[in-house]
Amino acid sequence: MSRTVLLISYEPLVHRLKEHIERQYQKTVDYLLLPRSFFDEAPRYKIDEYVRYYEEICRYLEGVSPTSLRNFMVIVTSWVNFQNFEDWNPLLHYEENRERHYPPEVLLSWLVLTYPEIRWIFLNHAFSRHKGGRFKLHSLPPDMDLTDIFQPTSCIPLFDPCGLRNAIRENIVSRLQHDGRAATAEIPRRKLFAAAIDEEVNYAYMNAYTAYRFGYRAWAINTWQMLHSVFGHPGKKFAVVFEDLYLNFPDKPHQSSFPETQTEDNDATDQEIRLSNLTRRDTLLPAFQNVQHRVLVTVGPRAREQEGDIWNNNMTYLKSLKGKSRILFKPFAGIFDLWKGAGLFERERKGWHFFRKKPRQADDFDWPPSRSDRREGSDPHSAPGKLLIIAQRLIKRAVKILHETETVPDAIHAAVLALEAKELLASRTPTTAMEALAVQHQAEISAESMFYGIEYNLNVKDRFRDIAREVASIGYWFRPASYKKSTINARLTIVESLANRFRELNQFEEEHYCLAEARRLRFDFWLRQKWYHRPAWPFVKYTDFLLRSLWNLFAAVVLWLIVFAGVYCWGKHGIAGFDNIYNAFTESTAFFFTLEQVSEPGEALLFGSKNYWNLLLAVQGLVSFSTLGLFLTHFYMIISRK
Amino acid sequence: MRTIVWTYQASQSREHDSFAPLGHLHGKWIEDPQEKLRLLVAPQQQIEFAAKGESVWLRFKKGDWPMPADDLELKHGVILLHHDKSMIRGYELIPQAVNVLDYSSSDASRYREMLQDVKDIRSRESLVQIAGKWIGVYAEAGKHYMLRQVRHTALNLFLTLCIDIRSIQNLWHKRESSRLKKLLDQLAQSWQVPLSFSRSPYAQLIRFWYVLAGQKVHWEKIGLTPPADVFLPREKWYKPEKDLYSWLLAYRGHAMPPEEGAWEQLVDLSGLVQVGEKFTKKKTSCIANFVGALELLVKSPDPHIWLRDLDALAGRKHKGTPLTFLWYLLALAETNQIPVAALQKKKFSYDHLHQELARLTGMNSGIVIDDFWGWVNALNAMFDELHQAI
Repeated sequence: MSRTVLLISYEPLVHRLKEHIERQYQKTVDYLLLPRSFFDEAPRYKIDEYVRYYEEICRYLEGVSPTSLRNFMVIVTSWVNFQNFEDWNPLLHYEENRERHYPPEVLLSWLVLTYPEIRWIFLNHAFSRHKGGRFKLHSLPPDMDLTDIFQPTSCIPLFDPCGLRNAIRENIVSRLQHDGRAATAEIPRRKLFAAAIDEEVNYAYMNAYTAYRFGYRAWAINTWQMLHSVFGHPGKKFAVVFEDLYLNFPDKPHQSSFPETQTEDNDATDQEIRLSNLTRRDTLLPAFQNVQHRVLVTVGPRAREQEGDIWNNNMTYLKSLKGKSRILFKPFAGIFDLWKGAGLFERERKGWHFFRKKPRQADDFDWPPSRSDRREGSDPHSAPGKLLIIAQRLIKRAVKILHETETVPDAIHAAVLALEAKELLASRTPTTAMEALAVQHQAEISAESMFYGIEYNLNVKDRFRDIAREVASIGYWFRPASYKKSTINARLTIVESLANRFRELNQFEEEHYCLAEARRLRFDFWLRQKWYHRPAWPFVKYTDFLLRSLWNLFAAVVLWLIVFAGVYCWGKHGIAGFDNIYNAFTESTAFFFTLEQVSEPGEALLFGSKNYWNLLLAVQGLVSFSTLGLFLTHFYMIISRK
Repeated sequence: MRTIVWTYQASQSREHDSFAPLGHLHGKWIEDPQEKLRLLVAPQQQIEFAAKGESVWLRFKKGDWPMPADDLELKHGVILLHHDKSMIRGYELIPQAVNVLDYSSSDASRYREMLQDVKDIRSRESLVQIAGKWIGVYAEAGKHYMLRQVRHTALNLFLTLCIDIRSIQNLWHKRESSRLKKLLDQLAQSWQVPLSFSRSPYAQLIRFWYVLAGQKVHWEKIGLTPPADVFLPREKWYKPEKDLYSWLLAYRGHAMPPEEGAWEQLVDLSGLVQVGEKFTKKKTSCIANFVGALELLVKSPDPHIWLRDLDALAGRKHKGTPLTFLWYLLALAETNQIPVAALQKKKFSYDHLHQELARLTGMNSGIVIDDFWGWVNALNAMFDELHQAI
C-alpha cells in the first residue's frame, strides 16, 4: 500500500529529505518545521514548549482522513533512546527549580499514544540494517539509509506489534507519585504476541483486533513480504495465531525461490508457492513451529479430490504438533464468537456464575482491574491529567471516525482508539472511562455488522456480560452507597446506545436483544430506586421474562395452561382418569383464550366453593389478559419492524 | 580530596524516616582516606549558603542535630547532593565550580531505591559506600545527558550530507542528468555562502571540531575561524557551555589531557590530531579531504565531468558510485599516510587533483571504513565506546 509521509524536522534537512523521498521512492511528502534547537536537544526546563509542538502536530494530523492516517508514516528526525525507555515518560514532571531537562521522548510518547495508527519513525543511534532490533519498523539509522523504511510493506502498527506503546505503558506504570504510591499501576500491559494472517484485509483487521482486545500485541499480516519478515525466523514466539488455511497473497513468490520445499504435487518451479500445505508452510516459515495456540480459519475442505488430500494431510500434521490447534469455520458470529470458537473462553469461577464462561485473556494482562484487586495503598486519585488529555483526544477521534465509518478497518480503527483511551484511564475518571467503553462497543458492533464474513445473527449475550464486568470495575470509583444504581445506570446507557447503533445498521434481532437487556436494566434500576418498589420484584421479573422473546411468551402461555388445568383438575374435575384431566384442560384453555367460562352455573365451584371459583377466574383472567396482551404486542412489534 | 555534603528534607516524612536513624552520624565529617573523600550528612534546615569575602561558604545552623563548628568554603571538589536546593537559604550564591546533584521524588524508582539504601545503612563505612554509589548514579545521569547532547548535536551536523550524497549517487546511477544538474546547482548555490554562514560539508566538519574541542582547536594554524552558531552542551542553564574535551577534563578531573582509547580514536576519526592541549587538522585525514573534495566538485564549473572521471577510474566494485569511490581513494591516502597535496593548496587545480587520485587507485587496500555513511556509523559507535570508557 502506498503511504503518505510526514516529515517533522528542521531546515535544510527537511527539504533535502522531502526531495530525496519524492524522487527516490515516489511518495507524497509533507512536512512540519520545528526549531532546530529541539533536534539538537537544547535544554528545556519547562514543558510548555513541548505542549505547543504537540498541539501543532495534532492540529495537522486531525485534518487527515482516518483511512489516510492508517497509511501514514511520520518521520521525526529526533534521536531517541530505544535501549533505555526511562526517557519515554509522558507523565514526566520536574519541579521548575530543579532545572532538569525534558528529553524529546516526552513529547514523542504523547504523539505515539495519541496516534497509535501511525507508523512513527525516529532516528535511532542503536540501529543498523544488519542489527535490526525490536523497533526496526520505527527506526532510522544514523546514516539515513531509508531502504528498509520504504520497502514495500503492509506493516499495520495499530495493534502495537513492535511493542512501542507497551514499552511506554511500562514506563508510566513504574512512575511514582510524590507520596510514593503507584498512580497508574492498573494500566494493562501486553507481554505476549499474536498474529492474524489472511490475504483479506478485513479478516486480518478483525482477527488482529480480537487478539489485541484480549491482551496480545498483534501482527495483522496480509502480504507474503510481511509474513516472511515476521515468521521467517524461528526466534519469535507467538501465543496465538489466526491463520487462513488457503493463503493467496498478491505478492506470493514463485516456487523457484524455495527449492527445498518442492514436492511431487508442485514441482514446477515457475508456479507460485502454495501455502495451503501446512507442512510446507511451517518449513518455509519456521516461527510457526513455536506457536502455542494455532487457529486455522477456513471455509472448510474443498470439493476437489486433491484439496481433500491436502485437508487430510493438514489434519494429520496438526495432530502431531506440540501446541494446541483449532479449526474455525467461517463465518462466525462476531468477536466473542471468534474467541470462543478458538477455544479461548474459560469458566468465570465466581459465585453464581461458576459455570458461566468468559473470554480468556493473555497471561499477565490484568483487565479490567477488579475491586478486590485494587492494591493496598492504591492511589485514590483519578487518572493523571496528561493521560486524561490523551484519552479525551482518542475518544473524540474515535467518535468522529464512527460517524464516517465506511469499511471494517475504519470501524476497527475507531474501536482501537476507544480501547486505548479506556486502558490509559485504567478505569479511573469514571465518566470519561464509561464514554470510552461505550464508543469501543459501538465501534465493535459496527465492524461486526459491516463484515460479510460474520454470521447474520451476532453474539450479543457475551457482549452484555463484558460490559457488566467493565462497568463494575469503573463503578468502583462511584460513591459506595450508590454503586449498584450507578453501575446499572451506566450499563443501561451503553446498551441503549448499542440498540441505536444496531437500528442504524438494520440489525433487527440484535437491536431487539439490546432493548430487552435495556428493559431488564431499567426494571432493576426502578426496583432499587425506592424501598417500596422491592415487593414488586416478582411481577417486574415476570414481565421482563415475558418480553425477552416470543419463545418466552409462548412457553409462559403453555405453562399457565398446564398450571390452570392442574388447578381445575384438583379443585373441580378430579385428578383420576383421563377424561377428568381432559375436561379440566379444555375448560381451562377455553377460559384462558376467550375469558368466558364454559361451566354450567351449578358446576362453577372450586373445592366446593363458589367464592374460590370466582377468585380462580379472576386470577386466571388477569394472567391470561396480561400474557396474551403482551404476546400480541410483542408480535405486532416484530411484524411492524420487519 | 572530594568533599560531599548530603542533605535531606526533614519535613518530608519519607526522607525523615530514612535519614533520622543515622542521627549519630549527622553533622560529623566522616573521612575515608582510601576513597579520598570526606562526607557530611545534614538536614537542609540546618545549612545555608552565604558570601564571605570573595568566596561563598556553607554555613551550619543550630537545630535538632549538632553540626560542625567551622563553615565550609564552596570550591572545586565540593559535591552537594540535596533535595530541592531552593529550600536552602542562599542557594543562588552557589559557585559554578561546585558540583550540584539533586534528587527528588519525581525520580521515581531511583528515589525509592536511594531511600531504601539509606535505611539499610548500619555503619560509617556503609554510609560512605552508599553515598559514593548515589553520587555516581546522579553524576552518571548528568554524564549521560551531556554525552547524549554532544552525540546528537554532532550527528545532526551530517544528516543532510548523508541525504545529499545518496541523492547525487542515485541520480548519477539512474542517469537522470537534468535532475542531477538541478540538485548540484542547488547545492553549489547554498555552499557558495561564506564559510561562517555556510552549511557546506566542510563547514559542518568545522562545527563538529568545535563541538569536540572548542577553542582548543588551533584555528589560526589551520586558517579557520571558530564557528559562532554552534550550541555546545551545558550541564545547567546557568553553567557555561562546554566542548566535549573540556567537559571530559572537568568530569575526570584530569590535569593532563586524556590520550588513550576511545577519546583518541574519536579525535582521529574526526580528522584532528592532538598535540598536548591543542588540536590541529590532520593532513591525511580522509573525512577532511573528502568534504573538501566534495565541495570543490560541486562548486566546479562542470561537476558532471568530475563524476564521469571518477567513474572511469573506478574498478568494478565502485562503478556507478563515484562519490563512494572518491571516499575510497582518500581513505587509501589516509591509510598510507599520503597527504593529498592538491586539496591543501590555496590555489586549487582540478588537473593536479585528478593526477593524484589516479595515482592512488594503484594502491593496496587496508581500508576500514568504506564510505561516508560508514564514517557516520563509526562516529556513532565511537560515542558509544566513549560513554562506556568514562
